[in-house]
Amino acid sequence: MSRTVRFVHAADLHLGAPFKGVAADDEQVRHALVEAPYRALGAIVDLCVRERVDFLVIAGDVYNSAERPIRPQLALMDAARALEDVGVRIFVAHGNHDPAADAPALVGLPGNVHVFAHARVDRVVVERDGEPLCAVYGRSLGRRDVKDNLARSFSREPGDALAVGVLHANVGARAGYDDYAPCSASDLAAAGMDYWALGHIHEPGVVSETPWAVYAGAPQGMDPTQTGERGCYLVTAEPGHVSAEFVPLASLIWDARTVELGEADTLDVVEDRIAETCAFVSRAWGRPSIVRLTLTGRGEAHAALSAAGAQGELLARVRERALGLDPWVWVDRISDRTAPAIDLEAVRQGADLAADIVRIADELLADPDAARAAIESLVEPLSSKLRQAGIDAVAALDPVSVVERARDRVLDAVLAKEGL
Amino acid sequence: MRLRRIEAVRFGALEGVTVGDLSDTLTVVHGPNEAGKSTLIALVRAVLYGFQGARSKEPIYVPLAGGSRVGRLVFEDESGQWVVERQEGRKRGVVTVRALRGPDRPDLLEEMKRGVDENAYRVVFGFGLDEMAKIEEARKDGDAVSGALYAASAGLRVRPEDIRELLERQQNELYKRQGRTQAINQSLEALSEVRKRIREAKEAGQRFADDRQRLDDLVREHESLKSEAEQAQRATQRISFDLQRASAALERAGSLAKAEEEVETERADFLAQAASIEVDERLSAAADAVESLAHRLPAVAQAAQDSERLKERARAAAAEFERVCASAGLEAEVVRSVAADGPLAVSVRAALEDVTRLEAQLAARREALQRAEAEAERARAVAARALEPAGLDAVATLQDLDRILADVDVGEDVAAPPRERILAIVMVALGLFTFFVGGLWLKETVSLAAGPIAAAVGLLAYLRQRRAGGMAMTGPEGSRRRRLIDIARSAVLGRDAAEAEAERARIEVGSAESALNARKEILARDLAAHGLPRDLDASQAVAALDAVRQAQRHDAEAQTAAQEADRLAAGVAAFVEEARSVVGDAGFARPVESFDDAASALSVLVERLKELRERTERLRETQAQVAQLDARAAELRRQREEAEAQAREVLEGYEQAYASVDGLRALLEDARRVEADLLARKEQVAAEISRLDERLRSLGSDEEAAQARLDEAALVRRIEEAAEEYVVLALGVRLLAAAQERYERERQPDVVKDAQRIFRSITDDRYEAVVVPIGSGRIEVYDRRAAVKDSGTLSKGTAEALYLALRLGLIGRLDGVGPGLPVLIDDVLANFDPERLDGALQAIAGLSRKRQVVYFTCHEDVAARLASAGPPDTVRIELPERR
Repeated sequence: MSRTVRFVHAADLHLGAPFKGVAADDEQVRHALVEAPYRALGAIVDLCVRERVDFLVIAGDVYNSAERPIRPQLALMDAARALEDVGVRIFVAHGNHDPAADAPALVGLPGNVHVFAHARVDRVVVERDGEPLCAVYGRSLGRRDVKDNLARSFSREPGDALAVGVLHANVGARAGYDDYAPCSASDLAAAGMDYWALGHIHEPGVVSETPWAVYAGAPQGMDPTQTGERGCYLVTAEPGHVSAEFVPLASLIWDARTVELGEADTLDVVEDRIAETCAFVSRAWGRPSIVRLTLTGRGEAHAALSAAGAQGELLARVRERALGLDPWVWVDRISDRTAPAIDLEAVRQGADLAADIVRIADELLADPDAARAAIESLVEPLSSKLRQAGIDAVAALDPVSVVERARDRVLDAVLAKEGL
Repeated sequence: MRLRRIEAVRFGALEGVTVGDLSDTLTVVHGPNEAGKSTLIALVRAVLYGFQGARSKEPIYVPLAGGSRVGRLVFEDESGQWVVERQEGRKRGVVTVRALRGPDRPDLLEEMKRGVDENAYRVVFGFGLDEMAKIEEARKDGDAVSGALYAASAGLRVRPEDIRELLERQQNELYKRQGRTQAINQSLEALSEVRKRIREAKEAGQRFADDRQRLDDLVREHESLKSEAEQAQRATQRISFDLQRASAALERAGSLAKAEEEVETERADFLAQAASIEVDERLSAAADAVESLAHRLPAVAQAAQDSERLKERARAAAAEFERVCASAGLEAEVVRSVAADGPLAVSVRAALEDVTRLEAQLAARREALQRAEAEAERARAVAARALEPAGLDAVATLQDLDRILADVDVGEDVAAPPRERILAIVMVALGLFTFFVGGLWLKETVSLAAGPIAAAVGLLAYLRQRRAGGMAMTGPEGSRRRRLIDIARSAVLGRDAAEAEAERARIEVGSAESALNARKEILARDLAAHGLPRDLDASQAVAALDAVRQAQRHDAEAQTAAQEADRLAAGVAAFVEEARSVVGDAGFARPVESFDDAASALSVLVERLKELRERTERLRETQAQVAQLDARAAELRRQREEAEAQAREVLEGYEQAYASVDGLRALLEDARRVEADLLARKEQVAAEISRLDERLRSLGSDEEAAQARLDEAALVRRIEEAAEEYVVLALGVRLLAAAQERYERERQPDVVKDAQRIFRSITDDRYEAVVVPIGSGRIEVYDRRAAVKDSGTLSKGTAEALYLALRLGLIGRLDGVGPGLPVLIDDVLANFDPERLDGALQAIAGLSRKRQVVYFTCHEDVAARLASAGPPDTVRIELPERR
């Protein structure tokens, strides 16, 4: 009997997640966004069936929220039933987004699903033909803000031919992510597992190879910052040897591109440049994509883009063209970071109003903290109003960018008035 | 760039008025009141910025002489000279720039007034007392004054207030604290609505759980009902099936019994029908024989006819035989005995051929005889004429001549036999040869006769020639005699030869006649030998044989026909005999003595037989139908018994109370009622399940929540973007304000310093300082006593001096602004006292060294003093008084 175990390691499905930071006005795009996490789950199931794996591991954050809306639960149930039909077991650990303690089960899951407890480490032995094949250890997060090092509670039992650990944790205090269930790579190594199926970090990646500790990443990017390919890992393990292969699954790709406008001087040229970028994105991914574009460069395009209504019109036109691509591309945002076609240094050396504006901006740019403070004090009423709505937009702004844009905006107006 | 000339083509009261050439520095234009000075300043402004429209509060300078307004300005610099013309037209008039000298410069006007809008021009460059008065009126509003000043001092390129107003307007379009229509305000309100939807979607979770429990209960009940309904349905179906089976079986049994009765009735009818059909048994027994005879009848009839026809033919042939025999003169018996085509026929045909040939030969020889006799006669005549001189008669022979000759020519002897002897010998030999070979050996009759004849003729000739050889003579007479004798001899020889030839021909004729006769005799013997007349020549014999043959053919034909007729007649007789027997057997009492009787009787029998067959067929069909009906009746009986058994079998499966069709029917009604009740309940439950399922699917699809979350994300995104834009704008306003404040603080003092210097000069240092506090919008002046006065508290003259000083100070600092614009001043010094006037004139003259100044005045004193104070190239122009 072969002792090789094959399983799929997925994590951070975030079923039911809202797509933050995107304004999808097009029905097709909205539909794709809504369906994308479910398609990812379907792709995981297809992969399991196609590869005839022994089991599927989901390392936390199956659901995006503790409330666990209905459709996500139904989707998981459907997936579990599909895998039950082909004899594939599912091991689920809850993460900080769907902690075990806050789990209202609206839908019963079939018998092939094992949800790890949060109070202790569960050990489940996977058998083949009545013989133990592999031990799967796992522990859910009981609540959202678990600060304990749960990795230390894992310990491989003697006699396990293969041991797989499942945990939703921040290994190595990864920046940009909440430091829940914090642990280190050495903590993982101490547990004696052959493979750590980790969740929490949305970028797929290998933490270590001795032992194997892998973040599967989210199978579907959930916001504009989660650019690039997303998927899961197909793991093949046998005593003494483990290999893991990343399998792309995302049905929708997030992307961010910079469009250097350079010599572009009119809106139609700008539009063509953007359209070319969108066509490249479409070809590159071969799947529907949502892209954020940043326009850069110093030139006449800045003035064209600064005209009243120009950017709105441009966005509408490029969206229409990009949606006509196959596969389509949704231009989520165009950020104008172009600079006016003026020699800032020359202006700075002048003795007029424009020179004063540039120099004052320079002073703010030299001290971003002061700039931030100045900005916050300037728009405090708005910030306060937004905070009431749970939006901390002002604090998230880059003061340097804001100062540059404000400077350029005023210079644009001044120069336009001067007829230059 | 300098303004060289001002041309009022049509403008207000001015028409065709030109002012120029203007100086590069200072031009003083002097003219009386109403000469058009203010109009000229307005004209310059109109050409630069456009004519005033009809609704303007400003004077619009409609040409008094009518027509549209037109004005021109001629500018000049080192590279050329250009006319800028404005003609009344769309909007504020149509401008054209035309080069009088130098390159085309279509953008000349815009270049010249760059950074100076119309209002700034009016305040700073082209002003008169009106503009001074307006500032005076507005000076109570510090902002207006300081704004104008700041605008000018900031380079006249832009009014910071305009930029600020623009940015603040954009800012306010994004957000206002109490606003409702602003983008962020609207988005926040929409966000609130969306979040309400999201909350509602979340609350749907609990409804989902309740509905799901209810659904599970209903599904179970539905399953139960489904099972019960299926049982009830099966029972109903079973009862219904049994009822149908029993009813159908009984019904079928009844139908079968009825059918049985009908079959019996039909069977009886057929039996009666069969009994009524009669059949002639004797005819039926003789049917085959009758049919056989009837079948042979046409052939026999034909044979009877043929027999009669043959008999007739035999009689005709016999008559013809008799006729041919009689015609040929032959006895019938002879004719019948002659073998017309045997050896006789061969002999006759050979005889005919021989006779024909011999007759032809005979004729030819007779003809040759005639010719030989004619020749002999001629030879004889010749010989007679030759013999006569020799003294010989015509009958002398050669022997006579030879003797004579021998007399003449003694001792001469004939040494060699003459040719005639040889010929006679050959003829003898030929006759012998013909006799022996042709006659004896070949049995040729002609040869037997001709051979000896020829041999005899030859021998006779030879003997004659021997005798003639002894008549020869000698000597001269002998010679003559010999010559005569020779001549006679030749003639006699000729004569003898001719006679010999005639003789030979005669012999041949005799020979031919002998041969012909011999052949005829042979023929006669053959004919006689066969009983035919022997006197028939060959041709007649042939004709007789032809007649014999013809007669024999007729005789044979007569005999053959008679025999065939007899044979046919015998057949017919046999048929008649047979018919007679068959007719008797068939019970048909009719005598059959002849073929016609037989034919008639058979015809009747055939007709009767046909009828018999039809009746027999009808009888057979009837009997077959009876048999079928018997079988059908048996089958119906079997089926009826089977149906009755089926019905009994079905009914015996039920209780006694229901063991009948009516009982089963009642039982079925009860079962159907139960089933309908169950189905109705099941339908109710299914409908409720469907409703619940739909609701659960709707809840489960999460569509509303997903859409709401997307909307929320979109709104948050929009708010964030708008907030970012708002922050940028707010910071922009702040940057602008800071720059303005910095300018006021750091650069404005230079302008004020110049203004202060000019003001001090104008006021002869009565006022020592001009101060513009930062951000105050006020202008303050300090007198010698350091007393501060706000501009609003100054006298009119002092205030005008201050504003003039400020203008001149500003213009002096505007090196790159409005580079082509001259300063046009319209008699602004009217309210100045003499001391201030001088200072003001000096200040204006000083400005003209930096920028072109055109000063219009009606005061001679001012004109003269300003002209003298100006630079050396100062120009004074006098405007004539207009009438």
